[in-house]
Amino acid sequence: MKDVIKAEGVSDPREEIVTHLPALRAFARGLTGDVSAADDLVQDTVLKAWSKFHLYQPGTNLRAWLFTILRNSFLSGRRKSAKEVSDSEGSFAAKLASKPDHDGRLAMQELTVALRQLPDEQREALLLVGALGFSVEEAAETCGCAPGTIKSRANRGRAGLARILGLEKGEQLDNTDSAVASVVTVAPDNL
Amino acid sequence: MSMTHSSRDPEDDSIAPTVARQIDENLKRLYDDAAGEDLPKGLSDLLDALRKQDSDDRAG
Repeated sequence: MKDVIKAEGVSDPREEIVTHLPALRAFARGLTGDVSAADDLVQDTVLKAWSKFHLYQPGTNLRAWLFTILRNSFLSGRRKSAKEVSDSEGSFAAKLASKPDHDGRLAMQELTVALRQLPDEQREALLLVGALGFSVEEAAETCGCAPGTIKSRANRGRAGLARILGLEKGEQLDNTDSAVASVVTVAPDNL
Repeated sequence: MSMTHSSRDPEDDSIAPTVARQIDENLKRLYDDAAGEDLPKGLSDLLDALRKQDSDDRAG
């Protein structure tokens, strides 16, 4: 471990990067909607980060720096392909649905599919703030925009999901016939 | 079977706080699964290769 600590309180980003890979994979899955494409995106991110570590300023937010690289790689890939990933029932959703003990798996599949229908900017804001626990400020740093923009995008994303999933403003869901019900009735203890 | 019927304004971004919280909780649940998995071998191999390359560069 002696090589990890380069200066007091500052770790080597080449070692610290490992601690961020699970969240990077989760973010990549949320963006791509596909397990394989997500892992390719993370690998690309690691390669780019490794080649740019000399530009990283020790002591600054490595997580936001890495997420920015991944985000930019994703958007660059999207521009190159110039088409939407149409895996609306993609392998990530299928993987979730295949877990035998996964409560509400169909509901989660619906959530994944609904998420894919949001614009990229709303999806990424919602993933960072809603799913991965980024502060609004850290998400804004990652996406290169103002905190207020992240708040607005995340709110629009939540409203979009509510609309797609049929959740009404100010109403309790009263839909026992749909797996969506289990999406919105999962107790925090079960999360 | 009873369904709620949509009367939402498509441009209205406001939703009930409880719905917003539940959406966030389920998003966390969804991606906690992904974050809890072991790293794929390809990614581990890539990190090993990059570290070896760095080590070789320092030695060379």
